[in-house]
Amino acid sequence: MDVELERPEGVAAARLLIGRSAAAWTLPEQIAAEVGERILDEIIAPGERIGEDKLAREFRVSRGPIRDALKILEHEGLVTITSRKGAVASVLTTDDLREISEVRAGLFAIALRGFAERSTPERLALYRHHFETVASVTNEDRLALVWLEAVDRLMLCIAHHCGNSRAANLLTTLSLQSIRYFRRSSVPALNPAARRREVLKFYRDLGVAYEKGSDIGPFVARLQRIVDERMDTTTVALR
Amino acid sequence: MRLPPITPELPAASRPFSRSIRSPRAPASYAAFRLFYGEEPPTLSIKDQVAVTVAERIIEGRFAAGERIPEQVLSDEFNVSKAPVSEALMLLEYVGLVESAARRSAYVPRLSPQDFDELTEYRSAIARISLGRFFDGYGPADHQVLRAYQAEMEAVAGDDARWFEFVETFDRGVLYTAVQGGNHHITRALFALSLQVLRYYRLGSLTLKQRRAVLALWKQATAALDARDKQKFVAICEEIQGLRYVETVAALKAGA
Repeated sequence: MDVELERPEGVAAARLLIGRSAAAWTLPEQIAAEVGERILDEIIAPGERIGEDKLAREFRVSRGPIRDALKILEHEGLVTITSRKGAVASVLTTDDLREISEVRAGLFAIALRGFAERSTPERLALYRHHFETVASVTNEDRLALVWLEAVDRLMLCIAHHCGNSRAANLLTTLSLQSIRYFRRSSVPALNPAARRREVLKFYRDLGVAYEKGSDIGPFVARLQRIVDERMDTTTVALR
Repeated sequence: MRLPPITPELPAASRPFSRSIRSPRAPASYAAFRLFYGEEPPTLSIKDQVAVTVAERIIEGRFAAGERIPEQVLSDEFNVSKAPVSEALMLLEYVGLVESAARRSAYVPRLSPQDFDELTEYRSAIARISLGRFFDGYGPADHQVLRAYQAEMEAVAGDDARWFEFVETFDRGVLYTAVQGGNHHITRALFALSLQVLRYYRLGSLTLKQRRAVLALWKQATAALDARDKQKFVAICEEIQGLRYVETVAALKAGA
């Protein structure tokens, strides 16, 4: 019953530093990506204090870049900074999950439609590439968390090519904030291969619609149902 | 006896912002209100004050679109080190008033009809959600607050010189509905967007006729809320948005 789940890597960096080469990352950004990954992996648990001094010693830097890194993570919603307690990994609540899902669903409509209006052969190839990645990891339970990451990257790829950078940026931030929630409901027991294949089918159909240039309206409604269902499962997993 | 200030005057927060949204009276600084809503600073830190001053200059066009923001000049002017200036610019980047390719060279984003389209599309999508939530939780206290905002707008509507106050008050009223809607991801996004939108609204003024039209729609929206007619409420909100959209795009094209 217990399968060792493989973890995706570079999840925080992929979002924090989207579209930029590693050579251009500043020191605070690199630290933010590393600390962010630990928060997503819950090596730093929700609500756990993050000591500036400890990080400064570990990364062998002064407190300045650490503070900047924590500010980046605060802006992305992974860290909460208060004058009383300092920095802590943000906590997970069912209310927060509901709020995130609500906004995501609203923005998905912009993303799906915008991508359709701006589709080019290059963008369609990019879509296929992400889709093939999702397909290749759908059937193996061991890769359930990798699957989650692949699906999310496909969605973010659509968002970042929808022609609305504000919507894409908020979706990216919300993605970072929702990963810990969705990982809890992505274990094979809660998200079995059969359900993963249903989601895969959705993206296959969507890809066909993009290729043919057909109406995207029905897909917005279908995605809304997938989002709602995910939220319900995740809410239960959170309790 | 009161002596002159040692350093140039920077705006200070006069009262906690989260309480002030219930009152339509304009806050000491419209930019500080939008930048720091939800935080409770009795006074703003140096970097916050720099952020407020620079934000107001950008919104009011005193820093032109596309212009580079000289950090050294700012730190000289405010008599502070470069660190708070950089931090202030980072904050402004988060709310979309500043862009930077590399960290060093912050500049004021350009305004364009395409960007305004994008902004409007995004804003409508999230405002639709918060307006729905506001409708669902609407009660007598909200009615009172909306009426107070209306009265404040009516007080300045007749004065051409005060058109920006009118727009700012209206915009703050919309932010009130977002706060009451209670989705903090949306609230945060809408406060940041409000600063970007005010930049666009500064491009062209609202005529008396337009101000009256906005007021009439505001009253209709309140009536729809009281009548518990969600469909009508949403439709009126979209009409208001559309009205201002047309104006702004016209101003952009005239300016270009």
